Amino acid sequence: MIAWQVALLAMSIYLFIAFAIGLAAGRGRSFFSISEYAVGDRGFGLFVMWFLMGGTIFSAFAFLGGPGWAYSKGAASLYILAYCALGLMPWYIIGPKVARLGKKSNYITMGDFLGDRYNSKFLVIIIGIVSLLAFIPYLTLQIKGMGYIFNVLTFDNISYNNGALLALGVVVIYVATSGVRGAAWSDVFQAILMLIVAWVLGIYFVESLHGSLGNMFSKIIEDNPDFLTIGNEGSKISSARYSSNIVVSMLGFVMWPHLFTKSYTTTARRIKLTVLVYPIFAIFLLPVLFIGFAAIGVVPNDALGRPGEVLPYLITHHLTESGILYGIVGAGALAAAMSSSDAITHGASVSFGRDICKVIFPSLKESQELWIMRGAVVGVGAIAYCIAIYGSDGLIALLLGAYGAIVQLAPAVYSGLFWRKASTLGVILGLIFGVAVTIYFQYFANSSPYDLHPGLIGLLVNVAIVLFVSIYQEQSEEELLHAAKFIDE
Amino acid sequence: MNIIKNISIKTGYVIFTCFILLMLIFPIFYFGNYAEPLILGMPFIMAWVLFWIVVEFLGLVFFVKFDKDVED
Repeated sequence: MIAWQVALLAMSIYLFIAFAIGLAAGRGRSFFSISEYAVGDRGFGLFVMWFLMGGTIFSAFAFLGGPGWAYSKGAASLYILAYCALGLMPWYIIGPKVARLGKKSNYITMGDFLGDRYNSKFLVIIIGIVSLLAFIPYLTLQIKGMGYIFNVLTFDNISYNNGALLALGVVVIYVATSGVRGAAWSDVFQAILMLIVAWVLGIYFVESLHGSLGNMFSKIIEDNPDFLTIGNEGSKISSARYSSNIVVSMLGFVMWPHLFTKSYTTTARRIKLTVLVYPIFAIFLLPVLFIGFAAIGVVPNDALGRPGEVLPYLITHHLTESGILYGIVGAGALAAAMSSSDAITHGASVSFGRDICKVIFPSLKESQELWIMRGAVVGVGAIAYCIAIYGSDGLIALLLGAYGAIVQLAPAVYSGLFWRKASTLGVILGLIFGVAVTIYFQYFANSSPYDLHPGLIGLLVNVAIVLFVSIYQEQSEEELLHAAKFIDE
Repeated sequence: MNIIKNISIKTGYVIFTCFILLMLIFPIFYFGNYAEPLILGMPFIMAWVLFWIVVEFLGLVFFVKFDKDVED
């Protein structure tokens, strides 16, 4: 066999295993229960939770974007470690509360919880739409990653379109049939595989290209010491932008609906123990950055179309010509993209079914709602696929603006859980203006004040509106009593 | 009594979270914002970030151990 066939075979074996695990996960479970499909009957164990939460963030971004950041932006890439380590910390406080509320009132989405707390269907639909708008470009990026990996590592014998379709197809089928349990168990396998591949590659490239870590970084410092610092003349990022990126990511992380709803899949104790292991996951990401640093001085700047191509470039130019190695690397990278894709497609399908369809058509039966969700897995996958294949870079950049919108859900969630006086009107206005301000600074203004992250400026406006409206708006005794139920549950 | 204890653990946790965050963003991050010396082969700034992540982990071990808020 020639190298590309071996690589293809290895990647196919990986796809098959992921597929089998995903399908098997749903066996023996009710196929007709929304609670099972959406939140695994609230009974996930600790082991699954670790890899479910871990695998979900080790996305195509971590595998392709991480090295790209280290290669092109130097110390700015440390942001990835910091936000991964900090992102889940708020969950320790809000996760157990949300889990208890969810169990009591049978929530399966973020919209369920906020809609009940603020007693507003309008709010639920906004949340459903914002979630979908954020999920689709996120998925598009994963699909682009999958297609790209397939194409490069089979030496252009499998086209970008077919590779992406194959990997996405596997995800769509196991998510549609096994629901969150399929996503969770395949994530266990995918996260382990991707971590092993990342460490092996990180150590290999540092050793073979530079001899040692110390040598590698000494060379970089000799060339431009500021490349490895932040906010200095030769640095690639300002200190305000670096800090505000971390703050926004930390506050926004658990607001991603597919992560937030994982609160419903398990118990308070297990949530806390999942938060506990997250800093370790952050440290596991270290070799991903080493790969990018190892490319400095080795990969010529003009050889890459985008910094995200640095890992595939290293693999094709500085790894042996062995097909099996290509295959294993390809499997690791696919695992990274797929372990995020499954959580995203699942999250989007549940949001669409519950937060949009069920609110507009309240008479939907459980079985109908469930079929809508399963259908939405295919629908969301198809839309993201079309954007990945036919969408221009400009369109994708535009859609990515929805990322910044996610953090705008934070004031609604936090005040819902901790502040009795937070009013529905305040939260809705805050959300709308927060998103609008973020979009303005992201696309229309030439720069943001002090170079802060646009999402942070939107968030400040958002919080100010929630505070102002809630304090000045009269609220009935009844509303306050209702709100209190969420605070001292 | 238990409720009081849990509230104080939560407050402690929030303070701890903010503390770790502050170590990793400016202005305190200025203290770590140096490329040299290399520590275990890594730039000082990277070692600084890793150090606080390890502290965060140890702190979390402490909180999980003393948090008696177990209902399962």
